[in-house]
Amino acid sequence: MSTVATTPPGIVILGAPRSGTTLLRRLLDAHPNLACPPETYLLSACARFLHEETFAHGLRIGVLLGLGYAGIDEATTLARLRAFAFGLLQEHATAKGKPRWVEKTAFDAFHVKAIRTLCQGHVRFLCIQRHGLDVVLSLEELVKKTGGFVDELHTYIRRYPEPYEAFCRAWADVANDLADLVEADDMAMSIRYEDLVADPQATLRRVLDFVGEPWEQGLVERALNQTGSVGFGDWKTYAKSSIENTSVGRYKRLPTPVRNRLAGLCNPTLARLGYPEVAIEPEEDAEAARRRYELGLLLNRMKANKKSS
Amino acid sequence: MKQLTRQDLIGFLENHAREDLSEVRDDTELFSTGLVDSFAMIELLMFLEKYTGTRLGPEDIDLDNLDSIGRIIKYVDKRKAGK
Repeated sequence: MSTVATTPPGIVILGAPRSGTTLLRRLLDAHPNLACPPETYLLSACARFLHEETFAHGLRIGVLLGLGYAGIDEATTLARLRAFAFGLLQEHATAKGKPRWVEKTAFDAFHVKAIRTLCQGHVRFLCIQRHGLDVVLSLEELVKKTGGFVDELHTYIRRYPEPYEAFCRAWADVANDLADLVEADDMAMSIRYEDLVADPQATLRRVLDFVGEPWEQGLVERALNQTGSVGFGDWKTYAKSSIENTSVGRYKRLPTPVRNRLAGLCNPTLARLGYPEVAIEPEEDAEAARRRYELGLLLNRMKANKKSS
Repeated sequence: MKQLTRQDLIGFLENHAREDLSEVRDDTELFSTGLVDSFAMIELLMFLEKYTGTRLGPEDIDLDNLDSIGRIIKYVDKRKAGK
């Protein structure tokens, strides 16, 4: 992918939640020219503002079309909205004494199409991808910790009551939207989480080159030593002062029947992104599946006994 | 059937827990500390049933039998001897 001559001030990080977006945010925020606040939800809010739906016999309704009938064309509305959103982000960067802004809110990735409508041609996109089944496991962990589903995930849970399937489908939709963006836009770059944690410096050098910023010696170390601003974002990364790759390939511990079922859902997207497909392995018979269930129950009892002792 | 060794057991658990267990001692608590998670423990229980040729009951699934490499090996030896 080629870099274009003009460098817009804004950079937008997009990636499925639990794909390393907060880690990338921390790394970029440590650069002297880049300011990335904790999650603002600004672009998701803009996406909701731009929401359109098809009504009745195919009539599209939404703010761009509605204002169009009032004589205000789409380009004007988008320019006003862009000026509002980008203006707030630039204000934050200026307050930090930095010339350029970076925006990252994990759940923005569920609004890629609307964010493209608003931002494409005016920002550089950094699209971070991660193996879908590792995302699934990490989303499960997120839901357990937080005790609920944000609206974007709940949409999938309503349609697919089995959480692993819901998360897998959510990941595939986001990953494909991001792949579409990178294929269509020279100002969009694809990064892999696995590369970022395996070699943060080399990956960050590529990212900085793409956004037109110089490499800074000691940048990774500085980023990890900064506690960062308090705000919304992934709680785990704030507790870490080193980059680990221990969560890569965690999906392999999933029981075979679960992994097999998810493989059917995620393999086409994994192949598109260049990941090896998840192998479909021979499944255990019904008796073994029942025994696995029973042993799970007994294990739970052991855990309960341990807590009460 | 060959003797279940410490190395066999660590290899099995590392494979399923996706953790580096090379540093664990025989008395390192595995499950109660979260070093080995529920997914891996269920795999271990399935494996132990197959290995010992016996069916584990509620009284067997106990931290006293399963929470460290030393306890697991001791439990398996006892189980096989009493089979």
